[in-house]
Amino acid sequence: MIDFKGIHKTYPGEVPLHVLKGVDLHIDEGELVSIMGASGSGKSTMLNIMGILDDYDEGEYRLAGKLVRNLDDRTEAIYRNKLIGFIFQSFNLIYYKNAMENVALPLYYRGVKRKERNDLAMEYLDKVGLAEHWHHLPMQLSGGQRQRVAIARALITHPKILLADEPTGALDSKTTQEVMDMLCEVNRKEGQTVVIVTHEQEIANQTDRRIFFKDGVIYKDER
Amino acid sequence: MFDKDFWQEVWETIRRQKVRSLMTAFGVFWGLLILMFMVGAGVGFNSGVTMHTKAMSSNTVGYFTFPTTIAYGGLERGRRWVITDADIQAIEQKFPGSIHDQVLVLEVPSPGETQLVKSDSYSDMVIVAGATDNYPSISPLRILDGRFISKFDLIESRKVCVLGEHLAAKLFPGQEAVGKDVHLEGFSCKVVGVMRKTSPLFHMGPNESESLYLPLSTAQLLYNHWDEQNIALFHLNEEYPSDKYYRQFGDLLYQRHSIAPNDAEAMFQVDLKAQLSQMSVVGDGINLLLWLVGLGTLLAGLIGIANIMMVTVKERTQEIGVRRALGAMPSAIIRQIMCESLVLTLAAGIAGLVAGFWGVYLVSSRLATEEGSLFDNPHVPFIAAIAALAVLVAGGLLAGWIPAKRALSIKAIEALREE
Repeated sequence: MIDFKGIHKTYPGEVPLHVLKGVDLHIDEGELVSIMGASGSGKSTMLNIMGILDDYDEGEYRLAGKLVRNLDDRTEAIYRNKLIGFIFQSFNLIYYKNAMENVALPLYYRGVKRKERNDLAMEYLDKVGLAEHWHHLPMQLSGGQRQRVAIARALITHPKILLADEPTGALDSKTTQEVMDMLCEVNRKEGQTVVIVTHEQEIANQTDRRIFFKDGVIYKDER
Repeated sequence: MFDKDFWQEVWETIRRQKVRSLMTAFGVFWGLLILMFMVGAGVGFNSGVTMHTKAMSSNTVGYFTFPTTIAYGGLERGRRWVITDADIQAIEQKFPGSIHDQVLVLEVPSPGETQLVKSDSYSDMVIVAGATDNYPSISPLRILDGRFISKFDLIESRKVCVLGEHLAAKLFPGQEAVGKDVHLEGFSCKVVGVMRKTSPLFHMGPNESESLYLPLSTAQLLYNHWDEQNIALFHLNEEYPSDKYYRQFGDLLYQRHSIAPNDAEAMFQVDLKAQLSQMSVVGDGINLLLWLVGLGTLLAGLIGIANIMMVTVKERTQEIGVRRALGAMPSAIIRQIMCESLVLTLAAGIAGLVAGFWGVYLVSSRLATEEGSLFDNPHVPFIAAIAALAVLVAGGLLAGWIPAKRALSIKAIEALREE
């Protein structure tokens, strides 16, 4: 599903920052993977490249068998919409849209009609236990509720891959476990590939595979 | 094809962000409103100048006498002098067939001097003048009641008068003045008309709304100024263009009355053609100024919109990043931002236009009932209004497009990180 070969990434600047130094990684369809590492180790950069939110300098990245390199904006958008679901630490919900509209938004970009996408959004909100809160704006929801809205938004398009960047970083321990249960369930029931970037060992322990990053390279990959 | 879903999304975004939307809309609304008023004022002013001058024949010269300021030919400075019938004959002799018609005025007892005028119950100090019957052809006035001085009044030197409307109101409050008697020093005369000065720009003789006008011959007779007048206006025949001859007539008057050729203050000489031309230039200048002020306001509005759009789109960079992460095509994002801007600027622009038209119409209808206004029928040419709206909408779109393009030019992850 995800295939990295010799991926390099350098952030330009007065002192260029060489973040990824030839990463080789293969993730199969249906895997539940966590990526761990210290701050600045390159784990989030990896995830962003996987999600085609960022590009890479050298190497080869294949997503679902397709080479991701020098894609035009339109193709990138199609890949993101059809293949990938994102969950961010800071939720990244649109503040002036209510929970249902936030969840339905990816379907808008697929051209799904309003009623159909709202119905589906309600279904997903129900799955994450927030059907009653469909009309609430993000600021009217707790951190855990916001993250559940974000998860529903990520799942609504049935993406092949779910990429979560520190999904529990802003949550308390109880809510953290609820979110992790949800991600694990998605992986088990739907068979979706889930990649979670985290710095919490407890989170990583709940995944099937743990990849450890250090200084821009993978130094441990355990199952 | 009309994409209802897309426009619903656009409308929802506008509706949910009221402050941002209102700020943008207000810039457009205000810019257009002010422009409409400026343009309306410019058009009204030009039209007003045209209206106030249309009654005046342009091939006309005028002479207004004042005391001399330079001693000359053995005569002292400060000497009062007047234009006599003999002077007019001399002009006709020297320039045969030059004078088509003449309007003559004599202020009595002397120019600028007020005198007591009384009705049976009230009195006032006012300027009194004698005038020929054709005086209204050169000085814009309206007869509110009765009539102006007639030829027969002049021929028979009748003791009749025409009162300015304010004077009539003072002497005969709440009553009709026509038919009543007014008393001046040593004689009485019957009121035959009440008049109003209609132009704020011009009046040839004393202010028609405030003064008392007698037949010229009556004034000359009663004040012992037999053949004298201190204001003379000559409509010239076509072969005597006013710009060429007004100095020559003036020089002749100077010679005949032994006035120093360099004593410019002894007589105010006017060529109406040149005056009208100057007035037209002033009118054009004021019009241009109003346009410039209006366009400046429009430009300020445009810059305001551009600023607001820049800031709001920049504020939305993270949102744009989120939308991109969710699979929005760049073209869809640009289209949405541009359409939001289009809806806002167009709606506010049309509101500004309607308010502007309505405001100018209100002012215009108020002026229509107000005589003597400097403005006449202020209105906004439709094409100018539409052009202004188009400029604002185009500006709004451009102002939305630039930051949206910028937001799309950076990587999605950078847009997501933008605070």
